Amino acid sequence: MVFRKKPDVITRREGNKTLVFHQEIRRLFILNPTSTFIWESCTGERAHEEIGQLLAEHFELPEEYADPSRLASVVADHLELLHQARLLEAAV
Amino acid sequence: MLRNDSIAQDTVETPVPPLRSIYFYLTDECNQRCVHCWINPAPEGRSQTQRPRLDDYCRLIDAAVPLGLKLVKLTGGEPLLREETFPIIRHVSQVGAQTLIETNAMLVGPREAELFREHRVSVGVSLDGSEPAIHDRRRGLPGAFERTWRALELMSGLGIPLTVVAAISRSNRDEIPKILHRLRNLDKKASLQLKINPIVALGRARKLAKNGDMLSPEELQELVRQVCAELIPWAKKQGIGIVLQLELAFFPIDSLMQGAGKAGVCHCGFLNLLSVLADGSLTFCGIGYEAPELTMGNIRGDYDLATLWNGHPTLQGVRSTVHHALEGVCGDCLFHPICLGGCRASALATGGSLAASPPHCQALYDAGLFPVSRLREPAASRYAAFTRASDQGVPRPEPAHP
Repeated sequence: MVFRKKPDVITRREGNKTLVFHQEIRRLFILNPTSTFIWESCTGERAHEEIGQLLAEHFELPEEYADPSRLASVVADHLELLHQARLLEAAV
Repeated sequence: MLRNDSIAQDTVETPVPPLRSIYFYLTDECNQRCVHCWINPAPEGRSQTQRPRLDDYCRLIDAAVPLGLKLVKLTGGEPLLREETFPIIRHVSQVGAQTLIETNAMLVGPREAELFREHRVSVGVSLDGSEPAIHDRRRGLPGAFERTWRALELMSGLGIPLTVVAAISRSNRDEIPKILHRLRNLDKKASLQLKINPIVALGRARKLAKNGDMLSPEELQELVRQVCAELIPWAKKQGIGIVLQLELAFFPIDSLMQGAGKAGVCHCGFLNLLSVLADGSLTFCGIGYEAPELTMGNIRGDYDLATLWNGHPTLQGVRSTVHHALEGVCGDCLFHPICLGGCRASALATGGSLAASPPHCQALYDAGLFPVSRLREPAASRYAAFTRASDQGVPRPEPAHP
């Protein structure tokens, strides 16, 4: 699944964390650094497998934590979380 | 004091929250004369107020239990001046709710402390300095410190949960670490925390403000830094918690996400709260003394609590206002769904409206120090529309919290 940020959310960076404000439901989400990286990777062009690979490179994960299928699964779960929170939409 | 549009006139329907807390301002008399008191009570024995009877308090408590009551706070003036205080505590205990009492503790002796322990009362005790010279001057009473400290030792020894409340302005801000060092000497059989209240220009504190004793926005930011970076970690090792009563805009994002930040933020839960003033007036909180138009009834008379809680226009207006109609910097702040504008009492008293921004946030904004990353439209005209004439042209820095 490929996601992109919904247009009606406001995004602000504070250090390595991100504030995401959903204007319609008026809810604020604070993303930690890992979630921030995944969030910023949601450009509407990258699938969860690719984001998982980028995550491993960005955080220089040691080999034992960088198994591609495991990372892809973790990223997919997190994307679903952000999608359920109505922050992401499917990119057609 | 109040503007006509203080409460949203066209209320947006908002869910009715549970009534979790009732604050009883049991008396408008006090045995101290604190320079900063926002309630401004009369000296002991000087009030002419007609007060409710014990039955009136108990009737309200009983009616509040089905609406979700969990906490009754007894405050004043000095609540221990009233003989009804302990019977109320017993009644709260009988209905299964928790009592919190705010006191200067000068009247707490072995008998009172034992009753607190027996009924599992949490006790908030005011302490504005680490030594008599400072505390007594601010409390307007020589000998106050010694009596309060003796009571703290007594209660901590009995394992009573304690919150020491320090009202802080420019002239006693250096006392905070010293108070913490002193608290280290108390028994910690139960929870012990220090609540730091930066003073707002309400009640008698207006005079402090005129004398230039309020902490500036820059000083408040430095206080937050000191508390989050130095005092909370140190106090945690000593078994002491810290609550800093300031709005979320002052806290770095890291401290909001970590344990220290959670411990550092205080919220009275005002949407789940009703208060009763010394004369029995049912109102929003202690600000009802300054804003009698918020009164919704009197517990000495007839009322239906469920009807009042579920549908009184004042409560509906407050609920709608904080969710949908906050003004000033609050109206543009991303954190407002979480903090709901912070303390509405101080907003009303200083901004003249329940929709106004709380004074500390507004001061931060006016000083050009409000973190831009917390604003919805930092560069848009809407932001400019909130800009007061006094701060036109003040450059907006990048986020204050890197």
